[in-house]
Amino acid sequence: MFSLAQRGNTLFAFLVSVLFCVLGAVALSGPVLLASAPVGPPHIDVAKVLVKQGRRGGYYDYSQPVTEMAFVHFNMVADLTPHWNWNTKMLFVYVVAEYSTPAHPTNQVVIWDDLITAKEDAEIDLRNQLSEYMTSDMGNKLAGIQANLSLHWNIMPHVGILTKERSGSVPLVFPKVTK
Amino acid sequence: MDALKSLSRLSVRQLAQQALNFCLIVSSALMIWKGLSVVTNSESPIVVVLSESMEPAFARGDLLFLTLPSTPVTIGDICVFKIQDKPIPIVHRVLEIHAAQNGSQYMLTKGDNNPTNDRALYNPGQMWIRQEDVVGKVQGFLPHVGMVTILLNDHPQLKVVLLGVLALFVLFSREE
Repeated sequence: MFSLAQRGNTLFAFLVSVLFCVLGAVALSGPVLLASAPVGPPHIDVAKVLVKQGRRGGYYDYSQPVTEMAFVHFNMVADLTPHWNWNTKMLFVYVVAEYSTPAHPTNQVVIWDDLITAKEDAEIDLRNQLSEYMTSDMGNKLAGIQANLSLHWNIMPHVGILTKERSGSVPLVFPKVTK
Repeated sequence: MDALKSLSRLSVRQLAQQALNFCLIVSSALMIWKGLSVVTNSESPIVVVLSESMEPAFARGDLLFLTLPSTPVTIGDICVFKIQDKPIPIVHRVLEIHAAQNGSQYMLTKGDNNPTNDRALYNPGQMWIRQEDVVGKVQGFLPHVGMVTILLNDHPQLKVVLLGVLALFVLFSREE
């Protein structure tokens, strides 16, 4: 009746149920903890914007047309430490340039991102940071377009659902092309 | 051979009952999978991470839960997408979106752990991912559990062993 296999099976089933209950509780606690610890608005300002000409795609890909590309230098102070709790594995932090053109009403381009894997690094202080990714439009023109910079972050949990938040909005105008 | 003895002790009816039980287990697993598929609107609602391109967010063997919402993809979403004529879907983050007036989106993706964007992974000359390429958006995360399927895929003989053991257990376990 009570063989070793049966005892083992019962014990294993119990362990697995307990494990999944704990995981479920941790997963549920994540969004609650995030909501209870709001993050203050970041301070972003644009230090310098340059628009140059180049091609999208690889260096060797001459089939792409010449396009205007923007390089943004910006300052940013933000404190995301409140969003660091026991279910935060990583914060993916990114700065997005948003603008609108007649052909494409919504354009969102990540100009800079960072992977934050420790609470100490969640306090961000950037001075004159150059954008990591250049901005370019599908119409190949950028000069004169009015854009907005905002800070977004994606909270990657140890277990559970992924959440995204955004904050701040700073205007920016792409200048004429510098040769 | 205890197992064979107990098998011969079973009547035809009992054997048939065990076979039906086995079928019930298989079909309910299939129904759960298909039901999830309908609820999430995604053809594969649960995927296993196979590469290290999204480290440290996702490691090899982590389980991802996908949905395919009718709303457009937003910036920073992690999407699973397929490249035409390539069999294996890719899980990467959307870092650039241009949406035309009719709502159709042109997206550029990048793996968090990759130094450059994914244009080298797309088909030659392909500059953007379109909405119809997207299989799902990552909503939930469960670490390591998918390692089982990776092991089974790397060592196909394990599948036979596992199926055999399961089938034996179902056939020979009787409520007394």
